[in-house]
Amino acid sequence: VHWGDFGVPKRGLISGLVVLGVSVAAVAVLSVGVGSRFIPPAEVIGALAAPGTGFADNVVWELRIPRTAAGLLVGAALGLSGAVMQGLTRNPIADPGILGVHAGAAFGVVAAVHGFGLTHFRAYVVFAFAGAALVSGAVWLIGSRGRDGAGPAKLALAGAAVSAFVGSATSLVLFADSTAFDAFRFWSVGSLAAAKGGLLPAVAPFLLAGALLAFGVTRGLNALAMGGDVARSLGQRVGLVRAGAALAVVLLSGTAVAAVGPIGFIGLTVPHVARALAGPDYRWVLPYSALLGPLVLLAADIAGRVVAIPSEVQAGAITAAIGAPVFIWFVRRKAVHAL
Amino acid sequence: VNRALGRALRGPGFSLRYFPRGLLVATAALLGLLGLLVAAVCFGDYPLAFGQVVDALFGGSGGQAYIVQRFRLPRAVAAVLAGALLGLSGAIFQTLARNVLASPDVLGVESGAALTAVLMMLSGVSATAPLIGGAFAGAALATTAVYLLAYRNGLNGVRLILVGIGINACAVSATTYAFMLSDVHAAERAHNWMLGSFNGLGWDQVGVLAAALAVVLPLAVCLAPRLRTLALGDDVARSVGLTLERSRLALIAVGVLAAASAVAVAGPVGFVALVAPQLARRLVRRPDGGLVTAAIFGALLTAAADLAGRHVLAGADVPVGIVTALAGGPWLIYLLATRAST
Repeated sequence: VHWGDFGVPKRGLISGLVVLGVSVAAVAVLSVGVGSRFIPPAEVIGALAAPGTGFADNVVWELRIPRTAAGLLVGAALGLSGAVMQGLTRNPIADPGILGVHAGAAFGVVAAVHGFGLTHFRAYVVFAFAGAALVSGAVWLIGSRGRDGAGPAKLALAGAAVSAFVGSATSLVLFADSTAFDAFRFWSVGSLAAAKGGLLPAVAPFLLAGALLAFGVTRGLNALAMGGDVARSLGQRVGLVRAGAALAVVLLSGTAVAAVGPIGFIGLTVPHVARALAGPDYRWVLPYSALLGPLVLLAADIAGRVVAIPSEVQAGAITAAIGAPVFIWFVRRKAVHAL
Repeated sequence: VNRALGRALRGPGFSLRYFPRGLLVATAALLGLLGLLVAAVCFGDYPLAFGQVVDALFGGSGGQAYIVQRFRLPRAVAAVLAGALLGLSGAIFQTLARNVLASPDVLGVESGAALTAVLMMLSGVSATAPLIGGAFAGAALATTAVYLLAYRNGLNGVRLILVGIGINACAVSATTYAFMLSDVHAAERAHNWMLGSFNGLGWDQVGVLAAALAVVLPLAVCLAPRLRTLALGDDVARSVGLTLERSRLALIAVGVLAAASAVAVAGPVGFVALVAPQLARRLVRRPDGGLVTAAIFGALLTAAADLAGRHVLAGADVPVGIVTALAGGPWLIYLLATRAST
């Protein structure tokens, strides 16, 4: 398929990707260097070069590096899953939450606290992922019934209905059980601070599988952008592409939400920015989203550490506050297209 | 009968198009609504027989009359009116944006109202009238901001939605931050408001809702032909001579007025605006289920949810916003799973 009509030359696309990559690297360095507790740059570099047992070494290796790595991985996962989700539903309002991921994860956490009395963070991760997978599975089963399969409107509606239903069940439990409410409200803000070293190796395989799957369906998503019938006539196995895309969203976004809590803004907005920068070709939209996601998330996380010293503002609360004005300015400036 | 074109009632100098199935569905829903109203007044901690209710309504003066006239009837009527406003608003926005997920919340009605109401509650305002006014002003302000920021040589539907996402995120984030700064009792009160409830509403609030519906419904019916034309796309609408921006602004204003009044009085009652138009069009079996039918389904769903919310947990009045999705979700899921059309 020839995308030249959209006027984004290939060389520009590659240099854009390089600029984004450098920015992400810069933000990652900042994230290791900056915290709510000031450590002189020389000490940070010393701790990185020769790990010891001092205070600076501890902070850098035990807190800041895992947190930065979590921001990179989760940000990329959120950006990617948002782009795949919008390609799957062809709906600009559809974030991964529409597939039931957020509602399922939240229900999983509430089930862990209310049903099993678990309040350990590790338990949340397992239950949240299980909940996200189960609820998204249900959404897929309902949305893909019938002759024409998981059409965009049907899948989005099924997701909205199931999400609202599960969300209400969660609210009902929280309304009746104040212990669960107390535990839940801290989880529900979304924060990178909870991501400790041992968590990342556990979630990385899921994220990797999801990312591979996402990049595997890019051509299919390009074809789907012209409608299911056209995609079929171009030789795409539409049902397979849609199922693969949905599975990628669940793996990426389900793992991300389970690891750091619901951070909805990135999956919703980053793909729009990526599309405005890179054009409609998902082979470019996906890598752009995968870099823009961690850029926004880490920038917000750093801002959250320094904006209210000595305490911190969670990334989930500050992402939107900082990102939204930039996003509005951006969509006013750029031409926007229907999906 | 051609299902898409309906039937026509013709006389000298006029013709009126109607849809037999639409009329049937709407009538059935209205009857159901009437039954729900009766049930809402009869059932409760102090059950009343139908005869007692009739007595209490017409000239009763004892405790029963007090319960019916002061508590149960205004609450039930408020649920019906607010539900109708939300259903109507949802139908307008879904058709206008040609997006099944579009609803007044997308333009910031809910988040704007919630932000001002929560800020007022956290700073100690507790009287009802200023809260309603404040929430309405917040909703109006947020949607105006979305409209103005999205307007650039005319209105682009996608840009409108994207700017709405941005303004929503700002308002929600500010609300969350306000919650974090405030003390726990005020926060709990504000949090309960945000779940939506008809508990304790009186005739004053019913008056606000009735006035809003009396303004909005006739306007919506008058604008319905323009809405149907706009749903065909900008190019078609322009080519048949529709004044695009004026029609769109009028429809957005009517939809926002409807939703903002309901949210200001009852809090953000979720899911009604999304599901009512879908139920209407799926049961009427036309792509455009009709604005009035959507309003009736909104009323039906909200009244049923409010009634259920009073009884689902023993000893607690569950906020109606929780129950609307518990009741409406499975209904929509059933329709999605059993009907072939999208």
